[in-house]
Amino acid sequence: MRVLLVEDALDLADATRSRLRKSGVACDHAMTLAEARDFLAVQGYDVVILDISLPDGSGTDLLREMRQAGHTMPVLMLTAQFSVENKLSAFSFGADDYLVKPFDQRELEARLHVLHRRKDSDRAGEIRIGALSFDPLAGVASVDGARLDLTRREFALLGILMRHKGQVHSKDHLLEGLYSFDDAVVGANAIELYVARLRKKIAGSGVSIRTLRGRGYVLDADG
Amino acid sequence: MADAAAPRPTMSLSARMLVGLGGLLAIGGVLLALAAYGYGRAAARDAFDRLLVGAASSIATSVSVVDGAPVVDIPVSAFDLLALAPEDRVGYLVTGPGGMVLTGYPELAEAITRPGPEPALFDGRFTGEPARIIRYTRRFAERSFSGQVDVVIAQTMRARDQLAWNITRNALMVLAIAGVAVLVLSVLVIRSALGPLDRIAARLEARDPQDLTPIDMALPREIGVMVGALNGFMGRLDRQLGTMQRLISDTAHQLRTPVAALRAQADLAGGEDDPDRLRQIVGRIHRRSVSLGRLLDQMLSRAMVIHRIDAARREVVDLRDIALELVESADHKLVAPDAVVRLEIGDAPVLARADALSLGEAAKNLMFNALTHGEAPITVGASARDDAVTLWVEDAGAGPSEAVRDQLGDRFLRNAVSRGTSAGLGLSIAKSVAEAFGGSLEMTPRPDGFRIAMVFPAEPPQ
Repeated sequence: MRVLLVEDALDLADATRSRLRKSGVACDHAMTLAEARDFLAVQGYDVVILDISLPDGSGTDLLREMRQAGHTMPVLMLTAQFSVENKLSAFSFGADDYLVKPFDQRELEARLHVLHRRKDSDRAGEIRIGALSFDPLAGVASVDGARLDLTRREFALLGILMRHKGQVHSKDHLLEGLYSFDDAVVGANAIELYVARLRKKIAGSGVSIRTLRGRGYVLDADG
Repeated sequence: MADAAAPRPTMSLSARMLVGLGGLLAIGGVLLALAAYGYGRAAARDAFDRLLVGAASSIATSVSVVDGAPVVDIPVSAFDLLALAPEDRVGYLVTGPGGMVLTGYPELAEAITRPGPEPALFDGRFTGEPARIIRYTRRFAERSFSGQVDVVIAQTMRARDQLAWNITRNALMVLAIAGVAVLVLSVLVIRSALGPLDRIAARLEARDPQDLTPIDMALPREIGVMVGALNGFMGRLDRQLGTMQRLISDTAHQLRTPVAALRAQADLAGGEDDPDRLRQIVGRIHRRSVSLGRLLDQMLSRAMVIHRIDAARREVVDLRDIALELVESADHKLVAPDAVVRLEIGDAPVLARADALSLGEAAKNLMFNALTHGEAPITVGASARDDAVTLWVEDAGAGPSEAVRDQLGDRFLRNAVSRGTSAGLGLSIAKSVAEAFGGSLEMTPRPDGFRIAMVFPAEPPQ
């Protein structure tokens, strides 16, 4: 795996680079946006790690340029923003994942590997309903190409509902779908809350989840 | 804020009141002018009608019967009366029985047949101009002559119009003077009524920029409302400013200690050759920096919570959502990768009126405390009891020490910071959030662990 790290804090970058090298990841380091552009012009990367605030501009600008130039490589954003609201907007910049500083080096490595695998996976298993697409292999659900920020359980539930579009699922049945996460952790009462959260997140995709009182939930395309 | 934006000026209050008053005066003036004109015309008509009656009666009196026939000897005095209106033309006609013209202008003859009481006064025309006409009848019942003699006098109306106009003009002059006087006086009155505003402005101008204390001065009730709002606004600003200053001073205090410790350890590492000792020091540095990051999070979290308590809108929140969000957030994996956090909720909504984000931060701090200081398993839940709702975190440990509990609400918690732990800070965040939304922080030892709960008044379901 070959990674480009765009980060202006030299000590943090050095530590990250050595750590990655130790686990067999080749890592180039750019201090500024200009340097990063030079690297990208001559070398293809599997993943780009991009800091948001850089001396000559914002990482989000570079991300936009890359996407416009047709670079589809996954980008992991590093943000130092604290507020919960800001954290969620990292995806809206078009990033594939994000980490909040200060972060754990092991966590960074794990995320890099996930992104790398996702890049290689084919999109054969993808399900599309309306503007909503669900890729179980990559672990990504998106509306009109914009990635949804779903937790693992939300993702699993959305998968069950989308795979059996138009079928009614009872709360217990949906809970069974979460067995892999040890359903005792959340309990059947949480299903209703999960569905409410999913509804909020997929709003505007042309797909909706209806509640059938006493029977369960069903996902269907609008209209 | 050095260059304060000039407020967009709308029409000044004085101008508004002047325009209003001016409008009222103008409408009143027009009505009064119409009334004055009507009055002037009536007065002029009465005055000149009297002259006409006098003249007609003196002509009628001068008619005498000579040899059984009426004879007119127009007296000069009759025309002297009418000469009071020098610009007007006057015509007369005297007729005997059967309309026989004795003397005068025959074109006035139609006035003879005009019905009406005696003496009859009416409007007509004379030599092509509007005129006032009188018919005065004298009856003779003598042996030699019996019948009536009619005297008709017509007078054009220039003098009347002149008089009517003069009366109106004089009345209008008085009105105009009175109107201007009212306007000038009202400017003075408005100035004095708006005086308190100028005084408030002067007071604010003269203030120290840091001075956000309420404006305290005797004010009329109407302005008091505005100043009350202003005081409320400044109060909020003051609290925010206070929060910021406290945050800065706390940050300085709380961050210096761990940073000093880090620096000392790093210095130590620089001079250390023994690999085992070195590894030990590095391990300490790592732990310190992790807890420093955590401390930073908590301080920012507290600053945000305090800010939001003042600024955020309160909404009806389902506490089950907050609990679920907490279990879902993978953050705790960093602190305790192996810990399982369970969710315990019922099937009915648990509603409170609060700010979801603040609640989330507070609950997160409680959970982190349980993860770092408590014992697994850890359970997060929301439940209702009587008229209260609770959002709680429970672990299998014994709960925070007496010392930490006693210090609750103490901002500094120096000991916790120096030790590199921050249970107290998390608790104080939860406590301020609970209290901000009308609740309290409750700590209950339980048979199989310890529960810390934020208790809020229940919100009735919609």
